[in-house]
This record gives sequence, structure tokens and C-alpha cells, in this order.
Amino acid sequence: MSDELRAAQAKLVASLLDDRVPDGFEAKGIHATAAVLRRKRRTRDRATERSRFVRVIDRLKEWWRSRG
Amino acid sequence: MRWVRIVTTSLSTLGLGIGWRPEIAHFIETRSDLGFVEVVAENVSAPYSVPPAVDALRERGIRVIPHGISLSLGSATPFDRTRMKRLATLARRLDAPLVSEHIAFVRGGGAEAGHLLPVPRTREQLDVLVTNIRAAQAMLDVPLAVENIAALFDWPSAEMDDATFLGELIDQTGAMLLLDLANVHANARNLPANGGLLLDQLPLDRIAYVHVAGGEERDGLYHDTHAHRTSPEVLELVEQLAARVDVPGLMLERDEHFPSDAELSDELLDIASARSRGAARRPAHVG
Repeated sequence: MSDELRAAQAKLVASLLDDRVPDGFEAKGIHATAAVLRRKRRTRDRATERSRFVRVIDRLKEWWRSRG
Repeated sequence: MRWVRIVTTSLSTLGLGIGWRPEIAHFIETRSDLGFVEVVAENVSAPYSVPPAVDALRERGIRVIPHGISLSLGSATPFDRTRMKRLATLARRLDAPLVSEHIAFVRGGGAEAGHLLPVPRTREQLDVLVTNIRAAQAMLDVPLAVENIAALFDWPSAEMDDATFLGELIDQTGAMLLLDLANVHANARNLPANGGLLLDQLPLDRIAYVHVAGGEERDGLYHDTHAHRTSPEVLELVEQLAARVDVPGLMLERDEHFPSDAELSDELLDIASARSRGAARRPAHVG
């Protein structure tokens, strides 16, 4: 695998996560993609929180049932 | 050769499909006109915890295709065999006719982008994709179809246009093509300089199935949201494609802002009608 390509891909991902425009790229599309990444991350974080909440509720239900 | 013939026969009967999502599971269950559904492989938490509703569809003879979103076939890092093994196991569990993934990368430098990113259209990148796709194919019992993605930006210094890149990839790997017409439309709007994917330049005989979806214009860019109704422009592409080739399978992707059952029915009807209009224009000797 090419080190140069690997480095270029890593640099692009890092730039998108920081909303920075790497050399040679067009700013408008990079900023728009960075915004999509932020939105998806928020959605994932909310889903993780929700599943954590569901697990707590499930444990409470189990505890309630175990009391007979 | 016999194996290839059987696979081709089963793919040619996929028909109309939709992306299976829990939010529309009941709607899908009530349809009698669906030939296949696609499940996002990463949303099935383990190969043996397939939603019962998906298994119920299989029992009715509806084909289920696992659709990967995190293999990162375009990554110039060592191929992730663990993810691939899970995908292959899921395909066996679902008795899938094929598996699909994207021509994209989703991680780099140890960081996850969480989104499908376009690859540079260079020889070097083509070699990386060919190597990874061959590695994936070697672990699968069924064909792999690769999908063109929608992008909001392009890499600088491309060495070839979109159609040439895709054609060479399909040629060198023998992979099938999951042609996303919504992505073709999005890229034609956002990145007109990269040549676009013109239907006549594509290996149409390698199409496994076709995606359509809706999107919206925001700040001068077209976003492939899967949250809006399929646009007339994308339906026109369906018609144009069906006028050229017998489309083996055609499916709607909807991921957010799910409409009412009646609206979703209407949209599926629009899609099927566009295919019928195109097929009626197709010369009798073609496909």
C-alpha cells in the first residue's frame, strides 16, 4: 500500500474533522462535508445516549421483577 | 460457468426493492410487490441477531442483501479482514444473492470519518481499490457489487474521469456494479468538472441493482439526504437507464423523515413507473 496515499487520506480525514481545508481542495465542498460529519456525529452520540438509557431502564425492570 | 449462470439468473429477478429500516418495517411487511430488501450490515449487531421481521421477509421469498458502509475499500491501509469476515458471515446467514459496499474510504490516520468519502481518481488509488476488492471477493461465497458514492468535493489532480475510473475498477476486479442514480445526479450537480457518470459510458451489463433516493439543495450544493422524495431528475435517469438495459433490481433508500405509508407507496409507484416507461422504449433485442 502506498505511504503517500495513506498520508493524504489521513490528512483529509483530520482536516474534515477539524473543518480545515487541505491544500488544493475547494473550500465550499470541504466545509459542507465537515458539516455533514458533525451532524452524523451528533446523531450517533444521541443514539448512544439513548441505548445507554434503555439499558438502565432494562436493568431497573429486571431488578423490579427480581423483587417478585 | 454454471455458478455464474445461476447467480446471473437469481440477480435478474430481484425486481423492486427498498432499504429495510425498523421505522418502515411494517410498511414493508404489508407490500406484496417487493422482490428484495437491503439491510445495512453494520446495523445488524451480529450475524445471528437478524431482526425477526427480516427473517419473516426471507421466509416469504424476498431476497435480503447486506449492504456494508464501513469496509473502507478505498483505504490505503491494510484490509480489515475482521469486518469482512462479519459481512461474509452475515451474507451466509441471510442466504444473500450478493453483498454490496461503496467505492469510498471512511477512515484514515486512525480516525473515523463516520461518512463515505470520495477517493482520488488516480492509478495509485485504483490499485488500492483493486487489491482490497479482490481480498473481499476471496472471502465471499457470493458476488460483490460496488457502489458509486455522492460527494460534495473532489480531490485535486485527478488522472482520469469518473466513468473511466469506475469502468477500469469493474474490469480489473470482475465486481458487479451497484449503480446509485441519485449519486450520479448529485455529482453531476455538484462536480460537473469531473466528467460525471454518463449512462452510455458505464458497464451496464455489470449492474447488479440500482439505488434511488431523494435529496435537497442547500447553500448551492445538492445533498443526497435519503430524507426527501425521489426527484423527477432521478426518475428521469431511471427511465433513461431502463431504456438501455433490463434493470435487474431497483430500490428506494430512505433513512430519515419517513413519510406516511401512502406517500411511500406513491414514491415506489413513481419509481416502478419510470422503469416501465423506459423498458417500453427499449429495443426488443436489448436485455
